[in-house]
Amino acid sequence: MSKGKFKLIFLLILTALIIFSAVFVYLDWVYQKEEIERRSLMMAETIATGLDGQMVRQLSASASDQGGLAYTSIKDRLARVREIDPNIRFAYLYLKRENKLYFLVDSEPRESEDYLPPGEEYTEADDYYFRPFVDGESLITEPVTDRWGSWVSVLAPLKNMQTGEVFAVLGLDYRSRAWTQSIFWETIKTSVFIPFLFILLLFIFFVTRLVFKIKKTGDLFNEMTQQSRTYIWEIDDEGKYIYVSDQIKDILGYESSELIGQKTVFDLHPEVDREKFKAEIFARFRNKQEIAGLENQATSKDDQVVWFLSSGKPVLNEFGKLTGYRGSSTDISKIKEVERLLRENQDKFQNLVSNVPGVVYRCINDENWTMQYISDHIKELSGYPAEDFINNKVRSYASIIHPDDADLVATEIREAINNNENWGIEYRVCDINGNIKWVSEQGFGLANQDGKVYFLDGIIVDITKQKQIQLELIESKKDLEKFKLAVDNASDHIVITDADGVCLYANDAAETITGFSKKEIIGKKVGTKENWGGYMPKEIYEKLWQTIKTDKKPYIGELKNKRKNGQEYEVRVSISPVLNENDEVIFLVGIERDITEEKIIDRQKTEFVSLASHQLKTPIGAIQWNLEMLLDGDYGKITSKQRKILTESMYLGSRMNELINALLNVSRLEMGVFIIEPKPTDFVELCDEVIKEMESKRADKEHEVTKNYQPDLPIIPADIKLLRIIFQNFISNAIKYTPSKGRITVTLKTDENNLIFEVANNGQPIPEADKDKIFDKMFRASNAQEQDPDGNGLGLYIVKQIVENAGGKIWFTSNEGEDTVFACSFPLSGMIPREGAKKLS
Amino acid sequence: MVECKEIINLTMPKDSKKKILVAEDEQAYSRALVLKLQNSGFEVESVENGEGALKVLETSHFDFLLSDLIMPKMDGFELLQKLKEKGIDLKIIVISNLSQTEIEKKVKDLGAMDFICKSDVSIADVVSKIKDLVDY
Repeated sequence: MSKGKFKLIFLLILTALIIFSAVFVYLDWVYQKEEIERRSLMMAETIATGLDGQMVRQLSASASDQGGLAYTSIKDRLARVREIDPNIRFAYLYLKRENKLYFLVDSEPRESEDYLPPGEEYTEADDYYFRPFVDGESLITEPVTDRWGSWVSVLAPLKNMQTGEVFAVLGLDYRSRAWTQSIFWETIKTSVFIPFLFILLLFIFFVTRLVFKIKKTGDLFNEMTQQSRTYIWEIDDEGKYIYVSDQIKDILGYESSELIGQKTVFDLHPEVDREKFKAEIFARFRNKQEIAGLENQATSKDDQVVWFLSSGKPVLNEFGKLTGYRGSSTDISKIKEVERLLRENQDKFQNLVSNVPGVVYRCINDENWTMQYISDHIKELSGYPAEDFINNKVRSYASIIHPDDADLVATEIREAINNNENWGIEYRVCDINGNIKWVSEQGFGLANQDGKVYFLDGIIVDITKQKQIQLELIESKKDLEKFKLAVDNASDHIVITDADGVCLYANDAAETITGFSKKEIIGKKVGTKENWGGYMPKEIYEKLWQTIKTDKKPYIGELKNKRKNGQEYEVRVSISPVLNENDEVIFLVGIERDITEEKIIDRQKTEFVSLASHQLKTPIGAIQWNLEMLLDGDYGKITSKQRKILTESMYLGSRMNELINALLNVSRLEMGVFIIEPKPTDFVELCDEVIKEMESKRADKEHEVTKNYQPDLPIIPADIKLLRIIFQNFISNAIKYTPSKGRITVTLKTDENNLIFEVANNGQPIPEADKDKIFDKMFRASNAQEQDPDGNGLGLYIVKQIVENAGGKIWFTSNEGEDTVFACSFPLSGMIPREGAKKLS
Repeated sequence: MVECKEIINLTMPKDSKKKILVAEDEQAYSRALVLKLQNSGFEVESVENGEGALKVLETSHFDFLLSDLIMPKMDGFELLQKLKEKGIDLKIIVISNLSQTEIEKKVKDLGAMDFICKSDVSIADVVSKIKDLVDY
């Protein structure tokens, strides 16, 4: 029985006893009171009956009664009543006459202060004293106070035997204090029994306990003696038993005679490790070493392995030679079993802890969270080994909590402890590499008997990944909100539809551009005649759906739409399919930009260029034709001088025309209104053609032109008109700036990703200072001006614009002693197409 | 000059002289073209705009129409459109200084066999182009 339980039972018994005692005392008090009253009444009635009625009747309640035989005799009797019971202070007789009470006789001698002369009226008498005359019953008054003090009176009527008439009443007065005291003492007498009983009970209880305890101790003792099974042995220097005490039978089941001289200690050892044991023992034998606290095993007769704790001392003969060992072995199998179970339990605990996906700990409730136990998982979390934290050996757990969270952790844990609750908190710790890890900790305080929490138990789980995901989710939600805001307020018309084009979402611009309200748009198929679309040829829509639904690629194109008010407008549309993981179209995102204005401006630009072109070219063309006809003699014969002037004029006219063309190209390039229409192009064929065209220009210079074409040059998409401009420019420049009999090499080749066109010549190199301006508009190198004063400085500028707009690259190398090389390249995928209004001329 | 004519007449039989109508508002061009083409052995008439050309072509047969595009009253596009509508069949060459690809495409769609940018070619080239197209 535990101490606490015993204490509780003791308290219960005590409380029960106190209640029982109180009830008992009360009941006893009532009983004793009634008993005293009954006895007093009986005594009074007996005395009253014993008084001679004749004599009493002789008394007249007047002074004349004094000295009379009756008076004296009765007084004597009453005096004796006092002697019977010393508690009776007064005994007296009184009668009722004319509703007043008069004393007849009392127990007091005449000389007593309290003596009552016969016939004296009892003036203080209250109702009690009259009552016996009325009902003829005896009674006991409540305590009454009169001139003699405080009394309890026992009143017994004296009756006429025949008539039953009450002719006098006997009063026995007890001092009220004495009366109460007597009840008290009587009560006490019996109540003393209770503590006695209580003490007795306690005594019995303790004695029983003691006996029980003694018995138990005795059992333990017996058990211990039984358990501590030891036998004594002696062996020779080969381990053979010389002596074995009889206890061996109880322990191993062998009779000592079966062992002595028959078997060695090694024979009893289990077969496994027997040789090892033997070697160990013989090693001790050699050193005559004492055997102390050796734990060894032996096999019992019924093949049970028993553990022993053995000690023994070497036995030496007179020459100091070892003859054997003598000692004792104690069966410790039970201890071993307990040890095994303990270890097993510990293993189980370790196993459990190591399988818990988190750090399990017990720490002291202090500011360092001093660890008493912390599982090895702390290494994974923090990078520090668990032992570092035990008793703050190297560092405290508090030291790895993120400084910004330390207060929070402390506050939350203290609050939980105060409210007697478990805590669940999330905070950051810093690991060995300074990385921040998020953890979630659940724990509770272990309250002592005094209610104070000294230890905290808990588990800490790494939630860094979850936290990251959570943070990313919050971020992506924010991003999503940003995107929605951006989409909602974008100036382009944006709709999201299901795979069949039924609108799920439309932004504000969709309303303002189309004139249809979102209500009218959402839930309906977009871009049909029901709303703003469906005004383009059927093939365009077929191609559109083919691209987005079958090819699952974005469709980009231009469409003509109609607003709700019937006004037509042009859009550049991009419809992108959104695919799920099974590569199925789940949504379509359509973005339409109203390009009506853009188109108008483009048209205006184009028209301006066209007009300028037309207006500039018309006069120059007319002049040229007429000069040509004059030279041809269509308008009559001309002199040689006139011919010379006309030829010069024609040359100037053609330069003027070239300049106009170049300027128009520049303005087309700069206004961005030129077209790039790539089609599969044979670069070799075009190059040959251009070289041939240029022949007339170089005829007088006798250049050596080498064509260096890579065999099987790929055919790639290119805009042939633009490519012609490039070829013409590079080749004509080479012709212009290569001196007579100079060398020009035209190369077409590929590298890994590009097709390269190169024109090399051995003319003067470009001066260093001019190199960075060579592609500038209207720039001409200083030495170029000397060689060709009529160049307009627009050619390379135009070529560079074309090449770069078409996705190619342009460069040159020009150094003293080397050929000057101009080159450009285009990706093997070809020129990048470009929509515009005008081709370059 | 006369010598030339004679030479052409020699090479081209009189009954096979091709008739060319030139529609051109710019005098400098039309005069040059008419003279050059006549000198080259063609029978040439000229009008100043599309309206005039249409009137002539409705009543007389021509083998060629050399038409400018920008002309008062009725421009070259309208003229070509009208000829197409009326089913008047003859070889049309557009000569213009409007040099956009789109225009070239547009006039070819309207039935022109060729498009010539006047300032970029010599008048001799124009004549040789027509000659190339005679038997086409």
